[in-house]
Amino acid sequence: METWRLVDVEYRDDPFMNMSVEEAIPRAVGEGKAPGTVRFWHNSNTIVLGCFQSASLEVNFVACKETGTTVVRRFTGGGAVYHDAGNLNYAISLRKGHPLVPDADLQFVFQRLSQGAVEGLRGLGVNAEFQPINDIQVEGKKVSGAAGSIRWGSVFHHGCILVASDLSILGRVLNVPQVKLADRHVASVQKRVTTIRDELGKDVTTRDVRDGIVQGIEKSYGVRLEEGPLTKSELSTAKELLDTKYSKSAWNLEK
Amino acid sequence: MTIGVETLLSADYKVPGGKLLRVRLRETGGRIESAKISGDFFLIPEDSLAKLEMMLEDVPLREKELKLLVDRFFRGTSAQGLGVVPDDFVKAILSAKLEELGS
Repeated sequence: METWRLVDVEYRDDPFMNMSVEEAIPRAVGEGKAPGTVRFWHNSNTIVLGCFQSASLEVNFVACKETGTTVVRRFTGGGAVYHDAGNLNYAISLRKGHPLVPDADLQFVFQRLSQGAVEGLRGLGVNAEFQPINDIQVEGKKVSGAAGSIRWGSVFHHGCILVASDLSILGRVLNVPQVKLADRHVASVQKRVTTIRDELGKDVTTRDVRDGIVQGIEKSYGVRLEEGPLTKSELSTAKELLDTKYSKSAWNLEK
Repeated sequence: MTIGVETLLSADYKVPGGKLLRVRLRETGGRIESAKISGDFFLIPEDSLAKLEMMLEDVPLREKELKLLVDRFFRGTSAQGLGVVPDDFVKAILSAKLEELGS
């Protein structure tokens, strides 16, 4: 049975470093310097923009200031998401060509690598299902979005799961274009998303969901997850990425 | 000699069943001066979008020319989109209208 590394390294109050680590891992995996890796992590109040999004169009900076929300850009496409302590992030990095995702097809990657999270949520009693293009839904409402890429010799997939997030802040800090809401026949972003807590009708922690997804990944992919640290090389790469990219307004805000 | 007036055009084009393309163009005399494309779509390699934006400079704002250019971009870069297909970029650009004051 294949063993993947399980990494719980996070910088809750430093979303820029969190994003630097997020990039350092697939780089290391792609170079063969690290095994297949699953990472779980949190951010404090943060908007994470997709790499193609315009900060000025997507972000309500006044609301961000009022709520103490930071803005950071990730290296993958897709839409903006709001992170807080009630939001669980997971990331899967595999070498390109891994038998689980042999084709370099992003839609297949999203479907295949969301399956572990879907299984994990089902194990917790949530009726979760993958919804193309990149969502996990419960009863028609989005509970998780995913993004990913195929680069640096790796296949990378990450997602954020609304476990017990404050959806009222989410609705304030993001400018969701009317054309997008109209297409989904809903009046606001809050009405098309839900949380695991609300779906289960009881308190649930991000740790509970993390543990459930660990089991879901092991079951779905027939692998064993073994806790491990980042390598010195990964940390060094992350710090370099922090200094040259993720701490810079030019990267985060100027698209 | 007539000097063209630069106009700002914009479009938020939601791909049916797909993602959102947000286009901001500077246009002079029917040609694109500069193009900024943003949105929640996927495109790999990610850095290819900047190349498409550059290729759009000085291209006539007409369907035929835009289609040829976008096709050339996807063939030349082997870029892979998700939530958008090549023709969506053409449709988004062609749907760009004059910026409304205050928007």
